[in-house]
Amino acid sequence: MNENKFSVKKHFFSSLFDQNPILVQLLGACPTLATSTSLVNGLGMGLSATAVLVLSNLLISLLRKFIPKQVRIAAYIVIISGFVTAVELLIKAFIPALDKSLGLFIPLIVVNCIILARAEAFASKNGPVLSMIDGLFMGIGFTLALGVLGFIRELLGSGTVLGFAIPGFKPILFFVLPAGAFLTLGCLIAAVNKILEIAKNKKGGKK
Amino acid sequence: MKQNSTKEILVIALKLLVICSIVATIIAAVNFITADKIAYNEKLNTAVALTGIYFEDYGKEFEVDEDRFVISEDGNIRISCNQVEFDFSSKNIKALYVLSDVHNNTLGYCVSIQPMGFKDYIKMLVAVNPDCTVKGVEIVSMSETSGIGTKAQDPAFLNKFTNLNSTEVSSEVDIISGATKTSKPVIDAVAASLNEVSLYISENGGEN
Repeated sequence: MNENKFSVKKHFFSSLFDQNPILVQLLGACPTLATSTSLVNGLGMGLSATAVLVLSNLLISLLRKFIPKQVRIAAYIVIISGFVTAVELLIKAFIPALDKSLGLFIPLIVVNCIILARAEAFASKNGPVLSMIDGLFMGIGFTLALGVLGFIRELLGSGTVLGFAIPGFKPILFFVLPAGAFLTLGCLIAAVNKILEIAKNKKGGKK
Repeated sequence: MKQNSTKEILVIALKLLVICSIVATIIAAVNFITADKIAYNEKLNTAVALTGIYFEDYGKEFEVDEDRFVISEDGNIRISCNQVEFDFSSKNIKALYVLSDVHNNTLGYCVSIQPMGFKDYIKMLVAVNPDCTVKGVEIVSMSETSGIGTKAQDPAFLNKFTNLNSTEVSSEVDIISGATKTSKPVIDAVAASLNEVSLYISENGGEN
């Protein structure tokens, strides 16, 4: 069902904060935990996933009246993995440095639930331009969360920022391991939820 | 009713076929655009990695061809690398290059090998002297655990291999503690590369 008033600005801020794909909707946790080991990896993964999100939202939206309802999930997966393959080939050819550092994680984008969720919740019900915008904003929200998570885990776990070591800082290895990822993500989700709650109360209190 | 549902199923199947064909076309198109560039990048990676082993400083020019590439400096060819046909004893070995200088004297050999690490394949290059000792080891790419497995690409570790022969590599280079699943494949790959080169030399009667 199309919203009568689709506010681009409103959608942007909600994708970043109160509807953030990882921190609020808790989607795509698997690739998030795996690729947020450093700031560069997190951002690279986020941007690649955003590219796939925009393209798959576009194609799915264009085909939304054609895709049979009974097999729509299968159709979405075919389209998503097609674009992941395409993006992977493009990265290997034109940004080989990114391929070097992300390597195995790019194909992991296929199992990123965010893309499937947006296909089902938005692209299958809205026009191509709006769907691309939704893909872009959700992707930015994802990238932002990955960036923050990657920054924290790299700083505390390897003692570096963007590969540059912080002198005199002894890193805690725990943070680059999966258990540390869970803990950090959990704390981040808790913090964001608290901030959103405060913001909501403030808005409620005003009235 | 029954006929309807058979027709329905056929329509769904046909629609899925169309969707898959669209996606396949997109992938084929992208592959067409990128295939050559990707192959070129692979060879370029190899050339750059070799430069690190053979020269003190960088800033060399590379020329990449179908089965050879050339490292030059100021327009003068310094190393010419020719890929050779050989029946490799391990499926991890991807290519064997014979390195020669501008007078066609054999400078050494280079093995492109890809052992399985902890998370994914580790792409490596092992440069071998004509006497089957290690000239240098270069990690082209790896996706191992940051801060743990990535220690295997530290110069401190890779320099340990220099000038060792196959038996010495297996016995003298220690596994990095805490990063066994990454460093052991690297050590084994270096030994395997040296063995492969000596196999090649014995079967080809010491190069010209």
